[in-house]
Amino acid sequence: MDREETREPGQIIYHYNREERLASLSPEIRNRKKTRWLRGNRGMIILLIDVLFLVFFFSIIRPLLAPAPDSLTGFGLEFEVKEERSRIFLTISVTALKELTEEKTLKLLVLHGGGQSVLTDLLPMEKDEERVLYASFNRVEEVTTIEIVATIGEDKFRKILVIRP
Amino acid sequence: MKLVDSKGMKEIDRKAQKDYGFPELVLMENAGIEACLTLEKEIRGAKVEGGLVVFVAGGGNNGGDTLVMARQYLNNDTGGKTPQIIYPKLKNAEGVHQNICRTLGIPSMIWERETEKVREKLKEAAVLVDGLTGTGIKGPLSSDLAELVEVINKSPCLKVALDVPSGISDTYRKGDPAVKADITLSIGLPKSCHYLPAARPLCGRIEQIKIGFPEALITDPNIPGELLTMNDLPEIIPPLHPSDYKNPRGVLAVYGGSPGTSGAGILAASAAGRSRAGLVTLFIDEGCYQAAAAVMKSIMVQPVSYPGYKPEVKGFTAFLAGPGWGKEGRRDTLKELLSTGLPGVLDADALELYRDLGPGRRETPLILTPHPGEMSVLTGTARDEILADPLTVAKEYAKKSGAVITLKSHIVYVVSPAGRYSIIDGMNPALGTGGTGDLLAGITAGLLSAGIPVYDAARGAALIHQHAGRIGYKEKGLFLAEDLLPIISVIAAKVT
Repeated sequence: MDREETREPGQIIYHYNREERLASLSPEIRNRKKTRWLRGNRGMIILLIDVLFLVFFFSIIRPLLAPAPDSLTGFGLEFEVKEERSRIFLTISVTALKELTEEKTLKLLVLHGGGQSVLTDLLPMEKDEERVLYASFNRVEEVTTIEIVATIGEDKFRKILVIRP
Repeated sequence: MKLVDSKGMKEIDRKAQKDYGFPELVLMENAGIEACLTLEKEIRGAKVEGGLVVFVAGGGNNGGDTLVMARQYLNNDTGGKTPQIIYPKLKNAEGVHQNICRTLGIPSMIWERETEKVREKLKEAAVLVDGLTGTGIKGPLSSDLAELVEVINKSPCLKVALDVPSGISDTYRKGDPAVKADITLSIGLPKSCHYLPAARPLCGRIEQIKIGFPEALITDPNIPGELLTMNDLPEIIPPLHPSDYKNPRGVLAVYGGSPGTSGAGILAASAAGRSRAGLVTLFIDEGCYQAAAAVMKSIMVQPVSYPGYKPEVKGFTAFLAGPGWGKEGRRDTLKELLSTGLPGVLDADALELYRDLGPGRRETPLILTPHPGEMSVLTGTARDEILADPLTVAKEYAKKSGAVITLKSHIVYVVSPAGRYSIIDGMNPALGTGGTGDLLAGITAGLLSAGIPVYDAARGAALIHQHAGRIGYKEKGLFLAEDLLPIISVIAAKVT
């Protein structure tokens, strides 16, 4: 559609006329038959490369850069901390990564500003089975550092959690 | 002290022999010698004069231990009492220990051949050592052994069972024939079958006999069971910190008490305040608020009305729901409480509501404190079935719900969702009075509010409760639940 271009202050109208643009191209380019989807579509190619990079980053590079998940020979550990006024509630989930043939005990030593808590319980025996242990204690310092030492037999795992106000 | 079932004991026995090289005969010798020393002490203590000491020896390891006892007894100063062995069957009279006893000249009789003579002999008995069967039997005794047990039970003599009264095992059920012992000498470790509700009264006083099992085997942390006594309490409950004040000691919300059962809420809140909690608020039905507020001085009382009450949890470190609470209109309140993540104790009416809400793992650390009737409501299992095998039922429900269960009866069972379990030997009928369950729930919640780990709060509370009952009975005779409150204060103070 042909339209007069205006240049009134504060009003900008961009003109686009496909026929005009195509007419300005050389006949060689104008008459080239489009055989591939990406041909002559640089924007699409850049977008595709970006997507491929992101997929590569999240599937390969990121897991390599990420810290190792908390685990203790055959068990995955998850820690969750909640705070209610001056009380800290700690939830520790233990998941069996494989089946256990005999009963084993987990001992958790939770050291915090106000002292320590010892949690002892049997470990889950079936694969993917989960046990949840809880501890709660008073916040006695502005910045509370919780040191958790998980022990199964001779195997030990240490985790430090820092809770800021 | 660790506690095992029949399978667990066999495993310790096997490891002692295989891993440490203990010959079976050495273990039997140790058991017999130690048991004989205890037997002689018991005989002296009971001031048994003259007469026969009859050793009933069956075919298993218990029979072997009993024969070692018999010859040790012969060698020691018997104070005029002579040993006599009774074998149930002819085939039980053959073996190493049997030959030694025969050579030593200890007289013996065989029940299946000399039934009448054995009946007569048992009438002369002053003491009877029962080693007929051990923990390994499955199901009730055969009819011939059951008849021998009946004859033993009719004898008025002092009956000492070796390891377990014959007839009792993990599969023992109420009414099955079993020896009714005055004393049970438990070998190595206490057995869970001693503490089956129907079996416990048949065991009499239970004494532990050490027979030289390596310490590492009998204190193995992977053994899931334990028998708790008051000696364990300081290890379970840490002392108060000298700088603690009311907030760090624990801030507890108690949802309980309604018209007609206001006392239950008051008792629970009072017990919690005497256990560890520094601040306790009783949220009581508005219908009995005035009465409760008039008697509660140190405990804050808030009137609430149901349905539609949104529970107050801000600032609290734990909650207790259930004692005398009522059920109507409380379900949504409980649902709200369970969604807060606050550690909680559910008792009485709250247990049925909890069942209706559908148990499952929630982020809320929970302790349930049912008696067998309430456990039946929770699980749908008949009360008699629960009493027949309380541990199995409690373990299954703890696993399903993710909650710690304190199953209270004349024996108390505390079970973790992982299958760890603690048994407290109660056997105190004085505690069988209205309101004592509310006290247990209150003590449990008081400890939980102080940040004591869930399983420790449950077993610590059960110990304090049982001990309070024992002292209460000793000092006051048959008491009312409120009589135990000052005793609870004193016991809880000893661990602070």
